[in-house]
Amino acid sequence: MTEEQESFLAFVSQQSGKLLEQTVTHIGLTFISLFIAVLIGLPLGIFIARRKRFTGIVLGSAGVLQTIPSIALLGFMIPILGIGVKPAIAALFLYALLPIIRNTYTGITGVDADITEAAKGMGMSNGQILWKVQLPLAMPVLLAGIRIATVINVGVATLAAYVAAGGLGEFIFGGISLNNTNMLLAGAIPAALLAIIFDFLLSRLQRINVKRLRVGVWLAPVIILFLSSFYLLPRHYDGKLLAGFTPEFMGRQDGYLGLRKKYKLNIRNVVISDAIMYKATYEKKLDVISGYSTDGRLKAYDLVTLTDDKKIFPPYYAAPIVRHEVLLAYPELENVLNLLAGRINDSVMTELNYKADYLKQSPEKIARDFLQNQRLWKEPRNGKKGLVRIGSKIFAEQYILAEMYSMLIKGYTDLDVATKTGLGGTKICFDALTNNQIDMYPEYTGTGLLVILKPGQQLIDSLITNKDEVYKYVGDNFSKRFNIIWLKPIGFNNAYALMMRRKQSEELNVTSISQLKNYLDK
Amino acid sequence: MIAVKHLSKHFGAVTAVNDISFEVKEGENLILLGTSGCGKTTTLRMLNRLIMPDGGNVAIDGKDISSGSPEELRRNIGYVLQHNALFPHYTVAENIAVVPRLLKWGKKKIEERILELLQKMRLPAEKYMHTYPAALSGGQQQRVNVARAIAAYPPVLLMDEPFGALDPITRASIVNDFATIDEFKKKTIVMVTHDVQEAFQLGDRICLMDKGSIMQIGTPMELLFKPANEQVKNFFDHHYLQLALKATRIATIWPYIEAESIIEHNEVIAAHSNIWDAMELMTKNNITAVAVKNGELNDIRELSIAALLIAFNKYKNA
Repeated sequence: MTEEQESFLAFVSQQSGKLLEQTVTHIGLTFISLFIAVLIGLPLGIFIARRKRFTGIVLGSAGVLQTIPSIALLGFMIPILGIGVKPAIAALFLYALLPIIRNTYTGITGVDADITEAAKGMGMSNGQILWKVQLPLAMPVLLAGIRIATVINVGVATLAAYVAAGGLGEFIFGGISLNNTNMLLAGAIPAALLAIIFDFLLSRLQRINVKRLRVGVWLAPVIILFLSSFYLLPRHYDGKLLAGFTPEFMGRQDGYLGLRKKYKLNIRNVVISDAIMYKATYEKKLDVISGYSTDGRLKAYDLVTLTDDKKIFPPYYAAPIVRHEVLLAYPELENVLNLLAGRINDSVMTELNYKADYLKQSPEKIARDFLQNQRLWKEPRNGKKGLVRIGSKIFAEQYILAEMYSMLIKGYTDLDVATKTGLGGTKICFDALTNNQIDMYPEYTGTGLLVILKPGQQLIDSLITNKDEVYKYVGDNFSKRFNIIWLKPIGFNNAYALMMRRKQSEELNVTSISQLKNYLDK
Repeated sequence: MIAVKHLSKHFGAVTAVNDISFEVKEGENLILLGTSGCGKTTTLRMLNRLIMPDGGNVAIDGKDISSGSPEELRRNIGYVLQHNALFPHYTVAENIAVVPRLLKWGKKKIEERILELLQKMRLPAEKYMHTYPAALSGGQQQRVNVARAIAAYPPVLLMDEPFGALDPITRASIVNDFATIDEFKKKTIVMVTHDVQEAFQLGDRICLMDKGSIMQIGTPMELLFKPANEQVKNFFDHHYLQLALKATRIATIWPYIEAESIIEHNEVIAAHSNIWDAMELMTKNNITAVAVKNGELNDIRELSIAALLIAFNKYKNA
């Protein structure tokens, strides 16, 4: 057995509880939507088989729905139905509709006209012809439609994870965002197996002889209902709090895995995209989410972060990092850049981000307002002594910091500044710095450690809980290896954090993760 | 029993049935005969309201058929289609039980009726009862089809080319059965066919149709020997002699037979048999003569093919 397989099996056995739960959810999602689709598609198919003039419009509309890309269809559903099961079931229902309507129609119109004629001639009513003759004879074609719809739904249901409806998609998308093949396969393989198994079982049902098929007609809804009920099972066991975590957070040691290990936190959770989770919390669809501690949406939606009292989230303290040569060339720079040190704590940074993200203020205005408020702002001296190039990553916080540094340098020194903001990710920024394309940018200690230096796991584990140790380690190593200097930390820690609605946090008296655990265990 | 008055049906600009009237007496076999497109099937289907007429009316037992519900009406009229219209998902027994079940018969009564019909149709019950139609031959399927139509003792039976899809041998045997089974003799039957010989063999009266109108209605002999017009005459020209021999019973030509009476014979056929059947019997059994008994006259004569033909010619020329 190769190492890869070993770790895959290890992953599966470690996650078996969750895997089982998500598989059950997946089956439930698939069949509850299938059930609704049968409930609506079957009568519609029968209707258009009798009223031919509606055939075109009904099959046409169902066909158009089918061509909408699944992810877009889910997107359309969110404004109407919010997040969670509703949009997922609605989208899956729409996908299952066409094969069911079409095959019902084809099945019924495909029954030999002489046979329906004979049924009519013998004195059967329309209803009797339908139930005793047309439906039983159309059953194989009809079941083929349900079979196609089932397989489609098993596939599309993986996308339900995007809207916090759960299912095996959680593993698949978690695996993709973490670049974790084991996790991806742990979702993809059961999903594929489900499709194969249901396809096989339904193909058997299709082939049973017509006699027993009449039993099948009654059995099928019962089975579908039973499988639909799977979706409801996981909803039952805990009514307390519901957490929404990003796929990435779910799979990280310094994320949900750490919460379980260090805090023994066991909270019912759904996977959700970070684009919608803050709002979902505000709307009380979720209670606890994994976010970034300085995100402007914290303020926008009146959320509070819970103290990480056992320190499982690595520190991400921001500090300017500067090429050593520049500091040597312009010795006045270091003191100027350190003017911000310790001045911006988490809530201040959150406030600044909120101004950028929600009040749509320009980073320049935010930076100036802040500096003036702190009495740090000075008129630019328009000096020409030299040029400092400031970089930033591509999000508001970094733009604001870059603007502040620019203003400070212009006001306190005779140096000129060029800003090169919006440099994609960590790697691009860092490469620009080491290749002498920029002179400085704001970086975070955790990123420096985990993304750039990447020491062994053992060393990480020994450092990670102590913010000062991490700062010291990255400072020493950046200086040694890259000739880059970490100046003093600005003060805020843009790390992972669990957050709740302020009101609920106060009501439950939960302000730290340990308190959350105690509340849940009560 | 069935009274059709001024019945008309148009399909768009086409007149399928044009103001026809006829009556069918109780226990009579009326054959609607004609080429395809003559309106015979449309006429038949108006008798059980599968098609609603544009004009005229139909009364069965003096009651206008449009007065009640069509389902009610159809449950009391047997209906046999040309093609195999058995329900493929029902067994033979279940197919036969369709109408009795619609009429809510008891289980035991239905079961007994199924067994009785299978026996009449010469389908051994233990072998065929629980098989599906797909496992039956075409002839067997059509026997079941007929059994299904008469299961609930309908006084009236409508048949739309019931034997049309069968090969000639199967067809001859099934037509023979049909002609001899008691149950059919009491029924009022309207049957559509384009086969002249079948019409002559099974029909008490024949209604010859063309372009939606009745050309002549009468017994086979009337149509053959007293055609209403040239068209009717031409219609039968092709098979004239065979039809004439089929239409004529030996009893009819009895006075012209020259052969001597004989005292007794082991195997006799009855004088109400037609000439054609007697000749066919001789050919088939490879014998030169057959003994025919005229029950009314209590007279038995031994007749050769030649003797029959001579007597027939004399009768015709008389």
